[in-house]
Amino acid sequence: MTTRVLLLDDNDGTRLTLTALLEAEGFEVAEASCLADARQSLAAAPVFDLALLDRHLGDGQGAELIPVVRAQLPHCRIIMISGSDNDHGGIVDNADACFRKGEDIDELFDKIQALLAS
Amino acid sequence: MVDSSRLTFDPLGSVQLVATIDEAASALRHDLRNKFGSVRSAEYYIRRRLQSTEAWQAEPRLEELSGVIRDEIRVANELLDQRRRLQHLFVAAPSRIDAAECVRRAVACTRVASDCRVEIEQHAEAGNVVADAAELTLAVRCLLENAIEALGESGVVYVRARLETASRYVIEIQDAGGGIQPSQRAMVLAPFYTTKPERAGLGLNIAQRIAERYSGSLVFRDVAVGTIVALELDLEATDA
Repeated sequence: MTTRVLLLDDNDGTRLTLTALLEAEGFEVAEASCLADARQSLAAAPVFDLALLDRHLGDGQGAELIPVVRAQLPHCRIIMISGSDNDHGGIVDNADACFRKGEDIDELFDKIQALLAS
Repeated sequence: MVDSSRLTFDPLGSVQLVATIDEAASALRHDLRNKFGSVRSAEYYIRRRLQSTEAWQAEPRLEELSGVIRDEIRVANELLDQRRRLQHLFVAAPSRIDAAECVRRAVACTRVASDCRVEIEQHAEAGNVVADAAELTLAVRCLLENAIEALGESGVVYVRARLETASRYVIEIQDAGGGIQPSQRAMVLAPFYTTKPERAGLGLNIAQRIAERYSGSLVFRDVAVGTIVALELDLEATDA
């Protein structure tokens, strides 16, 4: 069965490259460039198994979406992605995992696999 | 409050300079990590796609150059983190201070353009917090000057500092300007966001960073007219 991913990031390059990587691994990806778009995606088709949420967005914080995802999709796993100084891969904002931009991509896939297997 | 056109010595000048550099450097590191992340992901994708092709086998430099991209990005990331670790050299050691005194000092050295007729009404209740006095004073001044800019040429800015709960001290700055809609709050907190080309657009960021450095926060509060920005800090714990 296809794993469906919600990818929320306001950086075009991040969305383009992560989508390419995820799709190459067989994931189905829905992109959102802002909180409002992500909320719409969740409202229109709440079928995601995994959410990759950027922390800092033009219209808010990706973490604002965590309670919405938890309420609508209890099985959905959440990974926060960030390039901020204060994020070093530790779990924040009640997410399941965090990934720091610029780090080894294999680490991201390891985290995804571990979460989806749990 | 001082006429900024006559200001010859700013007692918060050096603190503000350090805070501005700190904030600008942090924004730059964030933006660079975004770019590094994209490059690293793109390299990963291209390498995976090419590894099974004849071209990859026939041209050893493809693998070599792919490795150069990975290594350079890794080193660049490490350099960013090394620079960040120097931050502690510029961060003051916190101590027990009266936040009300910081509010009064901030009001006293808030800069107002000579053609503006702005008043600041202040009420500051004593409350001990653990922070650096100069940094907290700067944070309050940033918020005051932001509020003054929102007013335009004249008006009143209110600053109220009080014990909100037994453990929480709050410094509220209120203006009667155009206000900030909830949907705009994230935007105005983005580094370098400003409606005034001559300004850096870092005042709210500096205030937020200082608040968070001392386990506090910067929050917008709903109000019918204008804006209330509140700097919330933990009161110093006292022995029972």
